[in-house]
Amino acid sequence: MKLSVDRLSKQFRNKIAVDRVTFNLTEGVTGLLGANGAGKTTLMRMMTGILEPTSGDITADGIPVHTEEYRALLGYLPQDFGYYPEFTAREFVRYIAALKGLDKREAKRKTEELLELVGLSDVAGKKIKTFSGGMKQRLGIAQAIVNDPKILILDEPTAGLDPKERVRFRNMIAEIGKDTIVLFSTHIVSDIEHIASNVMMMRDGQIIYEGAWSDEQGDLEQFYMEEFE
Amino acid sequence: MKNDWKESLKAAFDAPEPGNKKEFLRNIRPREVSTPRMLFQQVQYIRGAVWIFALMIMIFALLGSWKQMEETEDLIPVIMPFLAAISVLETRRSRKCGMIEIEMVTRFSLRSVILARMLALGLVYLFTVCVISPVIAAAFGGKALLTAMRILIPYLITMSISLQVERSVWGRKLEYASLAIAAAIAIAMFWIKNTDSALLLGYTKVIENCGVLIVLVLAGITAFEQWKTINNVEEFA
Repeated sequence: MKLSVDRLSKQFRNKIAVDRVTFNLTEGVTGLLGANGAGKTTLMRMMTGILEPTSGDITADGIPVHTEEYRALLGYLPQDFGYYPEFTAREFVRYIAALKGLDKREAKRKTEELLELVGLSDVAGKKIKTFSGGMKQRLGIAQAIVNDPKILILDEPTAGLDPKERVRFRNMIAEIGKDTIVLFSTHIVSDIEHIASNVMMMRDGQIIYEGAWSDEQGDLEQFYMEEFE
Repeated sequence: MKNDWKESLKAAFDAPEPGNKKEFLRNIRPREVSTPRMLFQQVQYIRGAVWIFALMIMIFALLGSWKQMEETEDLIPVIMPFLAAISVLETRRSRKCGMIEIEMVTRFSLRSVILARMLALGLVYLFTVCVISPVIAAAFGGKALLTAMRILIPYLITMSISLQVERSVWGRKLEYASLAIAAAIAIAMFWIKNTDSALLLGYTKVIENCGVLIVLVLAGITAFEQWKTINNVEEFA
């Protein structure tokens, strides 16, 4: 599958949040690096169809972003997400599974499988409001992949996680990325170094670097610091 | 001997393990889900308290009519604004609970979710009005149509104003703005009934003469506000 972003721009009144961005993604993990306000979240929201671009196109194997067919391929974990307070973890994942078109039996099976995968099966019956930040993030990833998406977009998925949880999360993303297009944004360079086969750096709405990063090219963190000073 | 041959042949021609099974399953086009099924799915997630409130209004109306309690005819129009407010709040739960972004990227999208909720609640409330209006009219010697209009007018006024306010800056700041609007309209209804007989007479005359037109206009405005709410989901994210 090929996810194509072609001359994508987004303008809010006087500010150009995303400026003529063009890139193609295939299966594998792509890390999107950038400081706060670089335009990462705006870019991701357009790639998920939440925000209408000012100009440009986004397609997945020719399927436009604003179609049900595209959304059926998609999994998304927003930077901040809420939940209906009366939901347990199990109910939350099943609800999202239902919205993603899974039938009841499949939703039930996938829910149990994913809660096991993210290590929440022993608290599946507990209300989400009792969860820690790390547990909520894990629940977030479970809902994002409940439909076996071909495109997975994660906005700062490791923010607020402790080091152990961050490593666990990265390993999970690396596993998923073997046969899925994964784009995840972060401003923590070590997250990228360990799992991303492709790196994009964003500054002031523009992609300033895109491509693989190998050890021969030097230290990624140093390069990042130099670019963003 | 024959069984041995059978076993041998079976082993020799056993079907190989499916290759790329997972990929094949992922490439299957998602099944079609009909609109009624989607509607039924959303109905299941509307909170029980919402249905219970509508049911209590119905029970109160029916019981009050049966027992000939005079307050029934006057109280129902005063309570209906709160039903409208609860309905608006229920359709806006996605925003209030921070679920907008997640629901927007699902296959059925947030627009469909909101529309399904509005439709489900609207149908149930319409059924409620259709049931209680003739019962109240029969119990207290009025006309069913007139009673229905007296019930619907405060409901529709609350609904249309609440939808507009919920989309505004005030609606984002005040979590229960719709309930405040409902309270204001309920107080106005109560005041008209109890304070000023001339105003009440005027209100009654207006409903008798132009009630149907007023209801149709308010229904049109409400439908328009609902359409705007559904189409402006991007602003909520």
